[in-house]
Amino acid sequence: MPAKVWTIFRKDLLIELRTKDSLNAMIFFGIVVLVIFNFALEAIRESIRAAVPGVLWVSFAFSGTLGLNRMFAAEKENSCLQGLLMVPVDRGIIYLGKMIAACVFMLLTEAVIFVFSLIFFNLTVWREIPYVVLVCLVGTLGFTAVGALLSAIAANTKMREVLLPLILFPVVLPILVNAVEATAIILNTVDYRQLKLPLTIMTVFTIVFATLAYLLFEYVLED
Amino acid sequence: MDQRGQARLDEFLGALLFAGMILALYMAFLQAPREKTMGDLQRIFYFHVSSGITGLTAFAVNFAASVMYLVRRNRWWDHVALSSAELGVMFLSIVLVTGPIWAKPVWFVWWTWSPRLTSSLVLWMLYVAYLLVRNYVLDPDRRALVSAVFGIVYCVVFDSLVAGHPSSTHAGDRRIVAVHAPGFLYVLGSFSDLVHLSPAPAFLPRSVAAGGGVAAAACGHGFLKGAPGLWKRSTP
Repeated sequence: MPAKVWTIFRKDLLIELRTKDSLNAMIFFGIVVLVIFNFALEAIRESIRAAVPGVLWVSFAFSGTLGLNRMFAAEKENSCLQGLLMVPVDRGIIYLGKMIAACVFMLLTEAVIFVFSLIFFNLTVWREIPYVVLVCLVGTLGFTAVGALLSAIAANTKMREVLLPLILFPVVLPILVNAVEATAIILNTVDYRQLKLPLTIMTVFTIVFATLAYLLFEYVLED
Repeated sequence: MDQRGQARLDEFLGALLFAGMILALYMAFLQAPREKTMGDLQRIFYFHVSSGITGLTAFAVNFAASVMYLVRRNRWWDHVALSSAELGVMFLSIVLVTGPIWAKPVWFVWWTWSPRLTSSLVLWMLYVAYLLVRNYVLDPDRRALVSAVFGIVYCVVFDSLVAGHPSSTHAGDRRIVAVHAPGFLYVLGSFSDLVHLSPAPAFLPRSVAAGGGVAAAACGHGFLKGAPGLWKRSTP
């Protein structure tokens, strides 16, 4: 099974590395969101550090949605989806491959956005970085576990680009809430033991959701 | 059941529910005593709580119907799922409107972001999105499939979330079910007006409502107290 998941993942990675369609757009959009927030939060410039976790995750989520929208919409072009469905693997494998691909793209984007946020908001972090990486990893896995399933659903509707954010954000709210909280704990407190609760909730949510999506994906792609 | 039998059952249930509605209105506004500290304001509970129970029950029905659709592939189950989602959104809307009306004079705020309130709002948004998705999928078979997947995913993740954290005002208590029985009857009654919104045979949502009502009353206690809270934060 890992080999099959890897094949699907590698296909998406290759396409992305050759065209760089979504990655460029995701990174650029994420930075634009940061800039907009910089002006929106003008009034609290002094205590901006408290607002950074929220700003970061809004930016991650928006740019992630951009990537997820492309994920299955791109497969619709030239009937690539038909080809993908003919691959003799369980549909759940396709979901896992897609989910990991989306996760990797989002993590790459997040890394760039995070660096830019350090510059824009004048943050100094060093010892916090491993924890931020951990929270980003768990949060992004949760986000894409939901996103890959809903992206497949949205791609088959007549309003696909509009629909995805509408159905995605309410579902990923538990992830976003806890990711923001965890990031806030890292950036604004010293007691990292508090991280346990948000990380546990995100992990449980991700596992439950990914299992459900793995089992149900075959119905979503069925013709 | 043949067409005529169905129509008669339909009429019978309609009449029963109408009577129940009148009785419930009488009990909520006239028979129930005036509350000591909150006054007449407290009567909103009879609508708020019973709508909440019914709304959550409707989503549970939606879940069951979604699972059944995936297993049986019978469009009948899809109709049940759709009507229960519509009813659930309707009743949760009542909850979300009556809640702030009560909260403003008592808590002095319209809204607080406590876990129970937040998760109820999120649940409402989810099922609005569910109804939206149904509008955007053109092929009926695909629509049924996709929304079944939605119904299952939503319910598993969020019904447990909402039910999972009783707070001081939203405690899970056996007495709640008893206290709110009159309001509950009213709510059951209003189901019969709503059934025409959905394509399912009219008697269906009524039976679902009636059955769901009994089930909710029976397991409300366990359900409200049930799953361990995932969002552990202080509540007002």
